[in-house]
Amino acid sequence: MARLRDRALGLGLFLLLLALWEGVCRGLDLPPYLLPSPGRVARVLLSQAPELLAHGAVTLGEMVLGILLGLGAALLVGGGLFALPQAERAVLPLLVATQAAPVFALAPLLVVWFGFGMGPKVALTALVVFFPVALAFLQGLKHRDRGREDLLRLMGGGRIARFRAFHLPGALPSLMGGLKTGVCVAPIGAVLGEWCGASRGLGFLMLQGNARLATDRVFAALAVLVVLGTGLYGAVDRLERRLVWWTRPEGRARWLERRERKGRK
Amino acid sequence: MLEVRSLRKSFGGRPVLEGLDLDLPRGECLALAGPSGCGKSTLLHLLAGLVPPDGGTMRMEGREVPSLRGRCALMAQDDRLLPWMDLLDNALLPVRMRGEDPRRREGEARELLDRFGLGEFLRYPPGSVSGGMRQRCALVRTLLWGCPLVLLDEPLSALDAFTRRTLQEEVLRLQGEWGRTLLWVTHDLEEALRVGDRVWVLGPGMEVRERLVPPGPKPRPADGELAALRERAFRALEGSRG
Repeated sequence: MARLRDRALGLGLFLLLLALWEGVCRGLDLPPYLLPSPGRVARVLLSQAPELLAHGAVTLGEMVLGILLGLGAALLVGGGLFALPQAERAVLPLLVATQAAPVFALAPLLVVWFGFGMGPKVALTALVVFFPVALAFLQGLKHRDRGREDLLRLMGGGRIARFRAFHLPGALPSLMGGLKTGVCVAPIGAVLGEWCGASRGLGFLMLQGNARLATDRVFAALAVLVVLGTGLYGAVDRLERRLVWWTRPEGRARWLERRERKGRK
Repeated sequence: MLEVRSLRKSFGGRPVLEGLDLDLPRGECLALAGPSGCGKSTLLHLLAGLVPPDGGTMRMEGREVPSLRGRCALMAQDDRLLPWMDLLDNALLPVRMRGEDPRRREGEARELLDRFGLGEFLRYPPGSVSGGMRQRCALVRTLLWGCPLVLLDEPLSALDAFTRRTLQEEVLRLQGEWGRTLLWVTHDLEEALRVGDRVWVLGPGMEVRERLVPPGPKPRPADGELAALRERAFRALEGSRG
């Protein structure tokens, strides 16, 4: 019930903002190339839906592949640095240094290296996703729970057994938090890649609309991008609830329910 | 079973343990009672090999050993169950950690959990059961650990008085029914007198102030004789402060 109320509240706030935006456009009689009204953007969304969806699918593909690649690299690097703490002291500053280089500066280079296809978009997305996820995973693995760790050590568990039973599940909440941050910034990588050279995708549509002063089209592409980003975030949130079930009472209840249903089959 | 001689440990120049001697025959329950911070838990950590001693020797079954790691089980104040595993898997954790197939011991684990009143909660995660039930599961885990010596680090001090009483009896089943040797550390003098075959009252630096042998079968009721022993122990501790 509370969840439904929160959602209704969120939707109400969103509609209120749209109404305000519509009011400003009409009241100030703003030209549509400067700021199109939400009504106008909605009309573009409806009339150009097939095109927007086709380009949206391209950007979504780039984002999903980039997220998977960034996640995979983050798991490898985070896990590797945890297994070799000496390497952490040498490698972590390097990783931080790579993040200090703005991704905007790297985008043209990636186009030179990977061409105009999907490559640079996926690589850029992976690059922006990688760092928050790797750092969160490493921090989760390093979280000290001395009591439980000592107990497992006393039981005679080797490093691999301890990693599987204790460190890895214990790091999941932090990893999922990092992945949520990563998913939020993933559209930056994909769209930036498209801006540097593409013939498809929402970033390409935005550039095209911008050049022709079709601002309503830019907003429509942006709206699709927001929906895609929110959808990805929602998917990761669901995954988190499923994987990190033990941290919330309702998660534990649902997990128990699933186990009982499985037991009955 | 266990002989400890001249065990010493200091942290940052401050001595915590100053040459402790301890003998623990097989099948006995030695209760060590002392105020918080006197070094009881440090002793258990030293014995378990979690902290290296500064000096002293340990002998187990007549053989000198660097520590009791792999030779003793530990039950602590907090249950230390893994929240992402159900009670059955938690109980089987020592089996899994040894590299054995937990399925082989599952029947035994189910039976033990059932005997400790957890039969209906095998598939529950620790976060969905009470503190007492979690500690019972930790007890079963200790049994499946399979070591003849069990170190108990204030195993019941996080529980309410009622659950504590019930669980004292259940922990003592480790000794009576399963023949384990217990080294039970507690800050609760009354608990020590209820459960220990011998009770050592400890002061700062783990100095043994009193060695008591409470009479009667365990767990003992807090009757007149036990109350007199408790008074004697308190006097020994107060004397050290004055």
